Amino acid sequence: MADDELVALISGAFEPAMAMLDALDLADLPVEPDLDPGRAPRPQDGA
Amino acid sequence: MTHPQDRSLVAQARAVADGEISAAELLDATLERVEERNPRLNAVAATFPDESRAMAAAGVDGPLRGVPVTVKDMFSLPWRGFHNGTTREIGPRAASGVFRRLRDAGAVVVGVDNQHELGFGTTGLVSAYGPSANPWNPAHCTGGSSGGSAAVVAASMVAGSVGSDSGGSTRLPAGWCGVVGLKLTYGALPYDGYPGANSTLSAPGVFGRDSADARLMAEALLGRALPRGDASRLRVGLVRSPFWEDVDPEVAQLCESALATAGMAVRDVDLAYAEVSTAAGGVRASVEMSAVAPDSLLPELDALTRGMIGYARQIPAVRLLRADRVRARLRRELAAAFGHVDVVAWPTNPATAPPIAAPVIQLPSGPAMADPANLRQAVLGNLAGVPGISVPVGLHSTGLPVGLQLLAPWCAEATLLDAAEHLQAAVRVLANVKHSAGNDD
Repeated sequence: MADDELVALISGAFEPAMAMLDALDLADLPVEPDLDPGRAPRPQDGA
Repeated sequence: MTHPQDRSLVAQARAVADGEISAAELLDATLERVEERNPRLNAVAATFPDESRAMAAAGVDGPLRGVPVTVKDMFSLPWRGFHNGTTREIGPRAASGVFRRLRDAGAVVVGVDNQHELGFGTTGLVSAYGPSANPWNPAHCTGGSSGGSAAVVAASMVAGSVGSDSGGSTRLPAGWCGVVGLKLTYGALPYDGYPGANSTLSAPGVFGRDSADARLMAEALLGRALPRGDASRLRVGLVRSPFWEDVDPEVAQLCESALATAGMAVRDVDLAYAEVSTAAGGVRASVEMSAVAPDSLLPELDALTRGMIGYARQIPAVRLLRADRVRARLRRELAAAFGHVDVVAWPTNPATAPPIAAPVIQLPSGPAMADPANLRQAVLGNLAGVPGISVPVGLHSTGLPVGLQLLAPWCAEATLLDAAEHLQAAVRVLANVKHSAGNDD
């Protein structure tokens, strides 16, 4: 299978999940600066 | 007479400490075991007896003194840079953080484990070394990307190994190979000499055939004690949607009955945005992994890996933005949930290991590629950076193992190991794992 066909196949497999992400309104997801994955988020992170 | 590698990691450490067996004798027996069993499983990519003998002779005094272990092909050693499942020595020859922790604990690194190429998959099929095979049925996948590290323990070639986990790569193969796999908290140990240093998702993980062995490995890597506690009163939250949905019914039933048999207090927990964790994690993991794959390496990679990289490089920036905002919300949701429960739980894998010849899993919704479905079960732990464990809870009617996954708050590895010990004592399936895996010829 050619590389571009594989990309299309993989894209298709992930597309149902990605469609859910793309449908989210960014206005409902404010920026929260608590992305250090090694610790729990804290109130002072800016909820 | 019992072969030393049919004993637990804890028992091996005690035997060396008591002078019952020397580190050199244990190493020789281990190399023989690898030579005997690995051709069928392809779990070990490289051994280096001279360097291993030097480590055994050094006699560093620690909790793993003289005990052989293996590491995934993602950790550099002083005599071998990591290849990350490719044809090329990508990493520098150096004592990676994981190597230093093992060396300082007295362990003897006896081999490097096979893995999915660049860690870019959950089946263990795509590797410069060829696919690794499941000790329970070599016609089936090990899982991945740390498939070799799970299989080498399941097949009793060693009793402890180190893998890594960027999107379930420790927990998923542990589930399919019927061993305990513990993903550590993000950033809990030095990341130098490890491609995870370029990732906001990746963390080393450990494998053992039971929770006591996994605890000993985790203590060595973390460089701190993980004291035992009473797990009988742990509060378990089940996140039904989406993690118990579209799961093989027999897998779900084995997981639920293990919790019931162990008498653990279970309640349902809702996590907002959990249904988009697959997408958020898939975007982050794909972009991070593809960003560190050098273009000069692309022609040498398997076509499927190139396809994954090609797909990742087409992801729109706004999708990454959405993914990161979802990630922040998920971390807060999980932190809030841990105010009410001690761990959250769901099946490690949505179905048992598929055949190598046809790596498609069967779900209630129909046949599916393994990667998206596996990622859905696992990647929340990576997005949040929390520790997670897979515990064997039984055998499916196909004869393949089933694992239950638990996540705990940041740095609460001991809680997960306590829960695993409690579950294993209640379910008592591990004895079957030990004596069947890789031992039927």
